[in-house]
Amino acid sequence: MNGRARPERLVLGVGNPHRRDDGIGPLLAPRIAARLAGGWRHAAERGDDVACLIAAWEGCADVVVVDAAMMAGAPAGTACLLEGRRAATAAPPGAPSSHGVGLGQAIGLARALGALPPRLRVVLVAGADFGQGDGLSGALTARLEPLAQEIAAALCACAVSARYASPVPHVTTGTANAMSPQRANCPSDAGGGRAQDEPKTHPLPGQAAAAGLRPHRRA
Amino acid sequence: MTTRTINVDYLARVEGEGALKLRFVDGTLREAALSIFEPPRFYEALMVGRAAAEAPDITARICGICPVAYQLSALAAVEEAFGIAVPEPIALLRRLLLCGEWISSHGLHVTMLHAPDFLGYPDVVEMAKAYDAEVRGALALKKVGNAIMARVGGREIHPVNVRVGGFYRVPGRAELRALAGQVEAATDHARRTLDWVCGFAFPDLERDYELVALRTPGAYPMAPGRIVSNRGVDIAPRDHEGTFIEAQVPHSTALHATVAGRGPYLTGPIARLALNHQHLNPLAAEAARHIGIGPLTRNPFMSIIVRSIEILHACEEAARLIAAYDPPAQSAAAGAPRAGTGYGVIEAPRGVLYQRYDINAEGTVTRTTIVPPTAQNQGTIEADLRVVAGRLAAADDETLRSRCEQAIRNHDPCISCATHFLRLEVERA
Repeated sequence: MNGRARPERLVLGVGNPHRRDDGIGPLLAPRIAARLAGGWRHAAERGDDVACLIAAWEGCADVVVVDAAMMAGAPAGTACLLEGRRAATAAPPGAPSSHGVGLGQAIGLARALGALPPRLRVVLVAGADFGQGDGLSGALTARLEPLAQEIAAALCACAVSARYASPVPHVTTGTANAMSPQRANCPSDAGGGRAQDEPKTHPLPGQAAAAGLRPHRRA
Repeated sequence: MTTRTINVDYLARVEGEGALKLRFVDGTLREAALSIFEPPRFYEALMVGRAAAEAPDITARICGICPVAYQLSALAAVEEAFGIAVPEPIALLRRLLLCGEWISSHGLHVTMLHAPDFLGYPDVVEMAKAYDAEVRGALALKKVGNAIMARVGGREIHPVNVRVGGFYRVPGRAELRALAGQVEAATDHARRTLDWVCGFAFPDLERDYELVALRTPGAYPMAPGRIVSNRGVDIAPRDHEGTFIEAQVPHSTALHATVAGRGPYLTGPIARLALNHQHLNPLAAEAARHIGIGPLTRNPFMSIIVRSIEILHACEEAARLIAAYDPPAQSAAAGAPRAGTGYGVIEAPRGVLYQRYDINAEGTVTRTTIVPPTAQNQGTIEADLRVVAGRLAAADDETLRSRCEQAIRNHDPCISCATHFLRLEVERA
């Protein structure tokens, strides 16, 4: 699949809108895509069907997956950007079930099959309420638009970093001034995507933060 | 006295939350329990007071992998209660919808969940590094199954297009024909999957089950029919209660089912094939003959072969239905609510799924009973475990654990389905 990848760019929101904050991914995806220059499209997946997840990014050259997460000790709205091999830590390793094939397993399986897009980034957003029901919790509702702006800006910086190997920003929206509030103005990155398995040379979000991540299990 | 206890606190590669406990005393197995601790989900209680027409969509939510089976068995029950006869073209379209579910569910289970047991891998991710083509084939099967469900049912998970009497909208001929190429490719994947799993090494085990499946006239059971067994059960769905008994056991939040007066039984692919082998489609029948699989498979570890035969059968069935499809003039048969009781059955991927609805004159549900396949198979799974673990009493814990987990996965248990039950009593002063 990778060999014939079209120069297509996708923001893929993953989550179940009927499980409160688990729906943040599908809500953020169109907002982020709209803020990125260079013709990004967006799509949504529930995230519990490995075939759908892998099929969703098939043929894409550059993919950003946005998913809700439970982060130990992090306030709702905290976001974390993972890239390259570290993106596979978006979910702890574990055996899939017939219902629950998580994002981490999908990424791991796609990697084993050589079906990862040339460039894959994962944005995890800490939620507060994963109970049943529609709509985000109050904390995330208020942060929706700022989060979209901040994540888009971080992705733009990430695009630059991919070219110049500068540090990948760690999006921590709970921290003042962590993200630029301006509309993101992304440089075109048509040829800038790194091969997924190219060794990383810049630091990623701290190990402690990654270890505390746990994508929400969908019902 | 030496006591050795092995607990697997959380079973992997099954749906839902369950655990396994084995207890040996002086080297002899004294207890083998499949503990289901997923909380009850109250579906039978929450259906009470709802419109019967909502039953297909509400009960579909019991399961994300076999929602079509819930919808079709609920529809059969409600339509019987309302006195609605579904026209043949609608019944065939429903059969196609079920084909999609079988292909998707079986395809996932065989390769992603069960095959790693036979090949010594901890999971499909590790297995994919050595079996790239096989895993890609499974993903392709899943995708085709999903595509059929999306085209006929409106979406692949929890379809939204079924309704009492038929469908909200029936697809046009060209819409279904567009799937033909994918289904043909899936048939090839199914054949290769079957060839692949036949090469596995199977632990030696023979069990003498009472096998329970549906029987439909002249066809492999992919529609409502009579409930039959290899020991003489042959009943209409309305006689389910009384023939089969559900009872609670201390270590499970799901009810255990038995044949009244006899004991545990097995439902699912092995039972379906044993009781309906003569109705396999040609490619599946020829493949079964070629690999030496007769009607009766006594080794539960070989259920992976039978499941693969059923994938091939379902692909052929889907291709046949698509080729012959002629859109019905009406998307649904007319019918009005009336008081009555309806009984519905269907073969879910994991076996017979039974639903009963008592409905009042306003079309409101007053009582529901739902008996999913995994609840029916629990007693048999535990009986399998007693044999498997008993023979491996001298083995190290890891060997014992992995073989017992494999034995559980032989039956593709869906624990979330099994824990839907509740007999809720509210006492008000």
